[in-house]
Amino acid sequence: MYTGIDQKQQTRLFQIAHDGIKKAAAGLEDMVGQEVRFSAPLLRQVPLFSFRNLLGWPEAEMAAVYLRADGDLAGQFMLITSTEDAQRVVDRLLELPPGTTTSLGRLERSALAEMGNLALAYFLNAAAEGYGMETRPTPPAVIVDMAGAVLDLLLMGWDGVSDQVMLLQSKFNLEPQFTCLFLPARSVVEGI
Amino acid sequence: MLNTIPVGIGEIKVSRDPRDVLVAYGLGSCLGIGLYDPQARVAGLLHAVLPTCPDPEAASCLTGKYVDSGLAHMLEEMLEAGADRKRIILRMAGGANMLSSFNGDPALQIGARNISAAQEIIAGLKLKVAGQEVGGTSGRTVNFYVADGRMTIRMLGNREREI
Repeated sequence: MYTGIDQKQQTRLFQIAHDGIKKAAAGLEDMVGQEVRFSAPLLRQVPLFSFRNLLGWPEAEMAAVYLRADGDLAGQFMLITSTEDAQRVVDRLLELPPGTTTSLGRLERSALAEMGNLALAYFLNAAAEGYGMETRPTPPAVIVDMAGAVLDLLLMGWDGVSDQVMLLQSKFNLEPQFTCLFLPARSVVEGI
Repeated sequence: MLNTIPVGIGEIKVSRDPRDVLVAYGLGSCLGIGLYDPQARVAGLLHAVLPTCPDPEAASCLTGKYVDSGLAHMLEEMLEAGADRKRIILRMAGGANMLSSFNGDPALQIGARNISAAQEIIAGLKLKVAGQEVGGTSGRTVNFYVADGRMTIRMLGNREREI
């Protein structure tokens, strides 16, 4: 993840991410049938050594939907929350009574994957429509494990040199909340 | 009373205090490598992210970010702390493939590449491997006890166990 970024690049990146997250929230509203609020994306430079504490205790059990994108807005995307909150969201996605889902099996993970897929599709469409950025997403992967191990995935795009990891962080309130993380590729930041 | 010493991403910690437990939390594709001199009771734990340092002269390779340069530097620190090269043994854990569904892309197999890099440098440095649990698809927390060189791992839903 590229950490050398000037004010102009920061502003541009924020605009793209904000528009993308706004569209993604609208898409999720259609999916869950109720208002989905979101927070403005925050551009963060997180020290590498503490990266696995990004969402709190690194051994906390989390459920995440992970996707990659190639093209003009290449990077990594992750929707992540606690396992318990993911189960609550699955109830909403599958239109089940609250408290029905108590584990994340194949069906439940498939529902989460579809949610991630939809959110990213709306995000990337916003980038295409607003900024002419053409991007191709990968199929989503759902991971349930310790927070630190899940966040390790995002280090696959780390530049291997800097002592900080740059990312954009936002939240979707699906009652409960999901944290949304976007780590743009170095090429994207340099080209903005 | 034990002191928990977290070893963050890209860090190396060396200790001679028998009250210390060196801990790398939630290792996914990262590799936790421990070195121990059982006579001098010097322990070191490395929390490496990527396999190979691209430029040995670069400052970034003087840390624990890379398996190969990190292990070499940790060995130097162990010797400076009073460890004897001939007595040092190694244990390691981690290097999981957290994205089993992306198996087709070698670039995403960071865990496996970290393990390969470790095996290569271990062979080159002629270090004795006393225990390891690497690979798989699950995260692990590593606890490395300075008092006796035990390394334990903990995975979600499982108890701490020694390797």
